[in-house]
Amino acid sequence: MHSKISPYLFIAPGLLCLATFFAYPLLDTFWLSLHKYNIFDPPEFIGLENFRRALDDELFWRVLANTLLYALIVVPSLVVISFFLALLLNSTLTGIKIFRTLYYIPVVTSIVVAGIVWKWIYNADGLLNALLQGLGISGPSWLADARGVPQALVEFLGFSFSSPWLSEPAIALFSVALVTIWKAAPYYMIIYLAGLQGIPVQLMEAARVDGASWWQGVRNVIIPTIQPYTLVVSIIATIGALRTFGEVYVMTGGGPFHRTNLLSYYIYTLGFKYLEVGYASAVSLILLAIIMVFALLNFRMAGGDNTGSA
Amino acid sequence: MRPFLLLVSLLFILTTCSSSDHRDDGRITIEFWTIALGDAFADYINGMIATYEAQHPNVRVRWVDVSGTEVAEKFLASLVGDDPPDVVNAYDLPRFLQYDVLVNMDEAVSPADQAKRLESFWQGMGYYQGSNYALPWYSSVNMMWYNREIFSAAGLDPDQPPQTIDEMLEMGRTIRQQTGKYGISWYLHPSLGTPAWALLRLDGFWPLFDGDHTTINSPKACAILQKWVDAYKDGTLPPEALAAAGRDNVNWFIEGRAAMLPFSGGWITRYFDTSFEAKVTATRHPRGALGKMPASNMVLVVPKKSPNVKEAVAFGLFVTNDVNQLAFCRLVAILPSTKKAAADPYFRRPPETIADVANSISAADIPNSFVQAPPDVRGWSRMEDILYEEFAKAMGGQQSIEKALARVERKWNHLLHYQ
Repeated sequence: MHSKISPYLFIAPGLLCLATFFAYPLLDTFWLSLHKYNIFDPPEFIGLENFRRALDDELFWRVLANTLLYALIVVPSLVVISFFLALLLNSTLTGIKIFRTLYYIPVVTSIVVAGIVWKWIYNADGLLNALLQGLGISGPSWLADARGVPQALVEFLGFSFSSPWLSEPAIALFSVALVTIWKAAPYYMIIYLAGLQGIPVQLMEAARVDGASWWQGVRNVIIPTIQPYTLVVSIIATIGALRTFGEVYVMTGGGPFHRTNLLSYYIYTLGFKYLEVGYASAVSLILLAIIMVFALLNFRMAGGDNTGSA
Repeated sequence: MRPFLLLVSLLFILTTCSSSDHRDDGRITIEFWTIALGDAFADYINGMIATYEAQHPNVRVRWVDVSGTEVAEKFLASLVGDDPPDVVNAYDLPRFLQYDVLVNMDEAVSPADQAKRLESFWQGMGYYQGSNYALPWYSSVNMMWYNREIFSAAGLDPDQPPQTIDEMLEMGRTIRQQTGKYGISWYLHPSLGTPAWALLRLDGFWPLFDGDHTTINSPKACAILQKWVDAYKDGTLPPEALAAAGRDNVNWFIEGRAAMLPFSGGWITRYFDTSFEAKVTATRHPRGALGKMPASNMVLVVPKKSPNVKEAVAFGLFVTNDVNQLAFCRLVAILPSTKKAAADPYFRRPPETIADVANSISAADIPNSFVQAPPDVRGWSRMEDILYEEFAKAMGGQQSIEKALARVERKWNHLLHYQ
């Protein structure tokens, strides 16, 4: 009898936590999404009106587009940069552990602290523009400039034409994305590093004996071998990018002109500032659906096996 | 034995974690929240509480100091959790005023006590649709700092600072053209400075609503806001004037990158060094068409859900009375919101420092000030963001101010209908 109950007892605490902190809030969010609710007055049932409202909400679509664009910038950058950082640190140099620790500092730095420091760097009269000034370049106001990066480049090169095609991503969104990349890349680097250290040394040595260059070894030996790690990194990075909040909260408040307003921040604004809790819940569920779609896509691409067996 | 011990431990944790009893030992406990007064004013607050408790033996006051960025969220959470504090130095009031969760002070406070407060402050931050829901506490009235050296470099007379908003913008433009420095260190973001609705109010375009629709889409409002769009476009204002970055405006001025800084008083002189002090002068805040100086005011509110409304209002009146406000003003460069305290000779004493000069200018303008309170409509937080967004687009050259106000009108009217 005891042996039958024991496994359930072991998983009971975990299940209880899951039910309390995940299942209940999720069900409650779903219930709230069907109501007009401002916290103080009793909820008023309005069916799917909040979801219909999202379809009509110009700002919702703007914010959704920002979020997807943001993920499009951040995820590939993280996959590539963290991989090459890991390659760089996967050596037997003296003191390499110190370098690995130093590279990891952004991950453990509070986003509030990092955001404030980057705001100083990005200021119109900040460090970045002072450096650019030294090169004879007049930098923009990185967190306040709503121009598109391509448009700014066109203007920098001395051309005067403009086009809606050149308006995305906004300089401000790109600047925020850079902070996310700076902060998150070392975390994914550690995942890659674990993968790289699992590759038998003989594989690269055999490639070298066969006349492969360093780059050919990386391309034909390392990258295929650590593919499961790449999939893990891309899944986690995608989910992280879609849920980005701190950078926007600290650095831009969603501005200028909502060009850096991302879904998580929009949900926060709806719920805590405008007290439109029902609508905020509906948008939260839409975000959840988007994250699940991306996670499933990644999982399917991984062939349902992303256990990282390198 | 073990289950018994576990049960006892759980009961212990539950009893120690339960909310404090408001009527402990026969005494009523009032929870009093302030914003970021911390250690600097602990003696003043604790002294005031000790005096009150001595005068009211049935009352105990528990002081909680909350940071400015957290107070609105914490207050909101406490209201939702049905465990609000009793007296709160609240911030971001429009969020709370629209849901009828605060005690109506027009009803709770006697006419005699109301008459002791300056009328513009009584009908200020806590005024919502015909009633006042807040007790005015300490305040500030804007004055202006300007850099004489930059004025001279721009060919302007450093003894003739601007008297009006229009003169300030014109001089700012000249400074930008002649020196390349920013004319005015000014914020337009709703969370920090003087947003678009306040610019309209400063220039006498008020109210913004007439019953169930807005009146903002008018040639007069367009003309007022166009001045600021022009000032932003020609560099009179810094590019970050639209961003939400606290204290930047002070830095631009102190670092000599901006010539004029409209501000709340003399306390920033703590950041001036001797050489900078020699370059700057304090003057009155330039007036808009309204003819009055913008003022801000800290207020105390009492939640309706407080179990001790009567005692909480009485304590709030004590904190904000003449004597206590004047004592507070003697500790730091702030101004009172009561008539008797505002008339005290302390505010007319001969200035010893330039900070004193700035404070005396602010104090002299108390009777000629208006509290920069937003419109009292439901859903204002969202409306304010809409106005900021459309105004900012006009400033960024993405649309004309006429189009911006037409869009604001359409969206605001839609929201008024939705509420």
